[in-house]
Formats: sequence, structure tokens, C-alpha cells
Amino acid sequence: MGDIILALLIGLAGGFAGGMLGIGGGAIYVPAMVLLLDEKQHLAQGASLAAIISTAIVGSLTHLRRGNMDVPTVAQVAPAAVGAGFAAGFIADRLDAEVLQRIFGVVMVYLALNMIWGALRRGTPTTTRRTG
Amino acid sequence: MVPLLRRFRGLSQHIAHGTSLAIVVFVGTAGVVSYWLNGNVDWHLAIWLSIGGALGAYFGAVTMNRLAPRSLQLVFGLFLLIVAVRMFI
Repeated sequence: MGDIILALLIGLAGGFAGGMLGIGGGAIYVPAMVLLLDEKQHLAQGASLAAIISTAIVGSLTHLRRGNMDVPTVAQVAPAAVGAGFAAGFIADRLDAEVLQRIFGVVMVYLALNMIWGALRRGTPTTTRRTG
Repeated sequence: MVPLLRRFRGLSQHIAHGTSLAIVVFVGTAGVVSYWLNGNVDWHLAIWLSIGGALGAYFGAVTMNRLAPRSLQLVFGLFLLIVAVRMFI
């Protein structure tokens, strides 16, 4: 019973971040399950992926209703993203996971600082084009 | 994906988030199928996580709508930084 309540709460937190930030919520689901529910890493990733589907469906329908979606981009990018996801899984199987994680980490730090810097800079428009 | 959508598709911060989430539906479905085939999905846990996730996603999406583009960009940047730093620990 405690596990169910904890899973629901982890879902709520990850779903909130996922719906707001346009990500699936896996960045919260996986570490939370490993740390709080003592779930094994690969099982946590599997459960997280399953929950990401419901998170992303509800979140994107809400965004669609509020005009926060560029549907042509979804149609063009989704097939490529699915292909890239499969390819990444295939390549990751053959690479040292730790090296991969570090490379990815460096790219993410750069993107994060770039975004924070952009948001804090005054007088710069953060929107370029509104469509959808 | 959000930074890429902004840079290469010229989407605003809000629309990039909504668009990214819709793409996640497809990527996540492909991912769960491969995990499922390998027997790596704990469905008992996944169901409760999904219920919480769906509720949270609704409130997250509604909250996003109320944030200014600049604040949203800042929140996203900080979140990304935390996730990135976690990768090195």
C-alpha cells in the first residue's frame, strides 16, 4: 500500500514537471523509483517509459487545446525521433555507458547555461515566432 | 528537444514545450515496446505511476500556460542543469 501511494506521488511530481517542461518526466521517475522504492535501474526505466506515455498523452492534449503545439512539426519530427531513439539504444548497447553519460552531460550543461543566460539577459526577446 | 525545436523550427518557448511533449508520446511508445519485449516493465508499479503522471501532467500543462516565456525558459534551464549535474555524480 505504501508503495502504491509513493508511486502515485512520484507520478504526480514527475507528471507535473513533464507536462510543464515538455519532457516525459523520466528524469524524475527513474531516480525517484530507484531511491525511494528500491527498484532496479532497468525495471525503473521500463516503468518510467510506460508512465511517460500517459503523462505525454494527457499533457500534450492539454497543450493542444490551449494552442501550445505546432502540429506540422510533430508530424515531421516524430518519425525521426523514434528512429533516433532506436538507433541510440542500439549504439548505447555497444558503448561504455559511463562515457556516453558524460558526453551527454557536457552537452546538457552547455544547453542549460545557454538557456539560463538567455532568460536572464535583459531586453532580449525570448520568443521568435508563435505558430499553431 | 525543446532547445532544438526553438533553434531549428523557430518555435516559441511555450509551443516548443507542447510540441516536444507530443513527440515524446511516440518515442515513449517505441521505448516501452522494446522494454516490454525484454520483460523489463514492472506493470504493477507502472500503472500507479501512470495515474499520478497523467494527473500531474494536466496540472503541469495548465501551470505552464500561466508562466511568462522568460520564466519558463529559466525553469527549464535550471531543471536541465540539475539533471545534467546529476549525470556526473
